[in-house]
Amino acid sequence: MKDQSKRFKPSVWTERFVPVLLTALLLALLTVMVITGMSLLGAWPGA
Amino acid sequence: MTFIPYLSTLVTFAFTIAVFNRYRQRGGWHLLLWGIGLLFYGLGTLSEVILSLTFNVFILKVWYLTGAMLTAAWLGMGTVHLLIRKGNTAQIMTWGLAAVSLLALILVLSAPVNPAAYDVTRPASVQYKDILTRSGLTILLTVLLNIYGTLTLVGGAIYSAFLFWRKKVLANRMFGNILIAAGALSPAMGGTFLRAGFADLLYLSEFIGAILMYIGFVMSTSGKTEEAANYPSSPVASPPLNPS
Repeated sequence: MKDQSKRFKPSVWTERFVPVLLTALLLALLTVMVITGMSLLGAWPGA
Repeated sequence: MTFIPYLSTLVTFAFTIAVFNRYRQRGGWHLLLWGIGLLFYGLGTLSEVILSLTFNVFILKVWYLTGAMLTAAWLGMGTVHLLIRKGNTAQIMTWGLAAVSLLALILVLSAPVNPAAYDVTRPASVQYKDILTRSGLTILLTVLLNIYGTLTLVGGAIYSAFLFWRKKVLANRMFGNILIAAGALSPAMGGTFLRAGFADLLYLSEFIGAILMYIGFVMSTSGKTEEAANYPSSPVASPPLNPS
């Protein structure tokens, strides 16, 4: 794979889908953090 | 037990070699720490393989120490070095992690074990609590190390991908970081599946995590890296991973 130069012209897919994907990843990260925290507090099974 | 941990071990060790090779060529604390984190990842999955064949107290402790406690934190520390480049903050944090890891090693090695309770036909991840007696401090450290590692590794990859997307530069690194974030989240979510009673999904999540992060690493590090060096506000390399 090659770097696609410094700048790239985003396709419609990249322009719209990437922020959605990043938001979904962030929400998943927050969910994992909440569940891990709850397990530490004993409000979720096992740690 | 399935064949999945075998595949995870192969992929993870191949990934580890790739990262250490890059460290040998280019240097950098982040690569060294990711290499160490990946080594822990591979030792964790290798221990799963061995524990599916036979029981050994030392291997169980290696599995818990590397797979459950240290992997995510060391990988995340690599990302911290990538993102915090000014001052000694990252170095100080690394020494702090090394001290905590030493404490974890002592705690795990001194933990009492009940080998008679082990059933080789069941995954170690579903029965280790009945076999390895963990102190409150051990459990606390396990949770905190995983929170720290997951937050820094996944959060760092998401942040890097966002920067590349906002600046519209280095598309390969943007997509590479997205894959790294997704791959790093996979084993962390596998731990949640485990608690919900789906132990086999943990192995699958470890495998998917290793594959996605490896592909993300290859995408992020391929091409003309000198171009990235001209962008001081962007991460000049991408974080490889994040399991827990």
